[in-house]
Amino acid sequence: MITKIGDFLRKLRLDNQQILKDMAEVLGVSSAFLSAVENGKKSMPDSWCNILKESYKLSDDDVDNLRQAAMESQKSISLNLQSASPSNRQLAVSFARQFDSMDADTSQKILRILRDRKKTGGS
Amino acid sequence: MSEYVVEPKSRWQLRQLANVLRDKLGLHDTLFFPIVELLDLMCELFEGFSYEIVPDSEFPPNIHGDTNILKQHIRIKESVYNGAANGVGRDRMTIAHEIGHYFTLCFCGFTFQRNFNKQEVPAFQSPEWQAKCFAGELLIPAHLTQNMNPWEIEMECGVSGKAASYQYNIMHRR
Repeated sequence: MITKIGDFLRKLRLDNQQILKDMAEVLGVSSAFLSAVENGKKSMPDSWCNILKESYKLSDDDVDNLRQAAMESQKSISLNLQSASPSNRQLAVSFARQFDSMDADTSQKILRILRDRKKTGGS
Repeated sequence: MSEYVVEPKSRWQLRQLANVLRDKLGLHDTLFFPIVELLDLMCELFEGFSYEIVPDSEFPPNIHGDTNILKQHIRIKESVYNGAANGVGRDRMTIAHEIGHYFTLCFCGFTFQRNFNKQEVPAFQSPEWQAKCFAGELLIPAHLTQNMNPWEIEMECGVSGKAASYQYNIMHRR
């Protein structure tokens, strides 16, 4: 039941001789909330990356690993379409509709487009 | 009435099991057993083991924790976990009790079956008694406490007065 983010956070507190309650206090949440994140019942709030980086003096590589673990543990992603353009809205909806049936080849092609766009300076 | 019947285990056998765990952790001579710390350590040591701290509202008032044997997953009520982290003896014992279920049934694989006929189950075959016994032996090790009085046991081992007296009486019964 433990997720990758749960493994990462547990190893981090073991290295710092802390228990879950100590880490929950650092993060400003309840023990139950932190435990729910570790068990994949809640998503890790974005703000945790910076808090953990500062509090535990994480290196850039550690933060990358933390983000990767959080991403791999995520069960759902929500998109705010309120201010999205009509074409972006259409893209999001059709992507969501086809996501479950998408084959590996198609997802690799889409990933390549997004990575190339990032490399050339797209946001 | 116990819902399950486990293969028979004596207090002496469960004491050995608790002491093996203490020895493996290098805690043979430690009076105040770090039971909360053990939860994280168990995730590292035992493949498939996990635990979860659950909001009080998700448990009935008289239930403080449970152990899913098939999933090797322990759930602890948040107020109990926080109490144990703050050194409350009764809460520390609750966590030790759930860990007792894990060790006897998951780790050691003591065989158990449903008590379909609702027969009276002898204490040494009851999963609740075995977990309670293991918890008492783990937090109040006989080899370190046999010359202590109940008050000293309570203070040194971080357990409730009730648990200290119970274990004291077991060690000194004739």
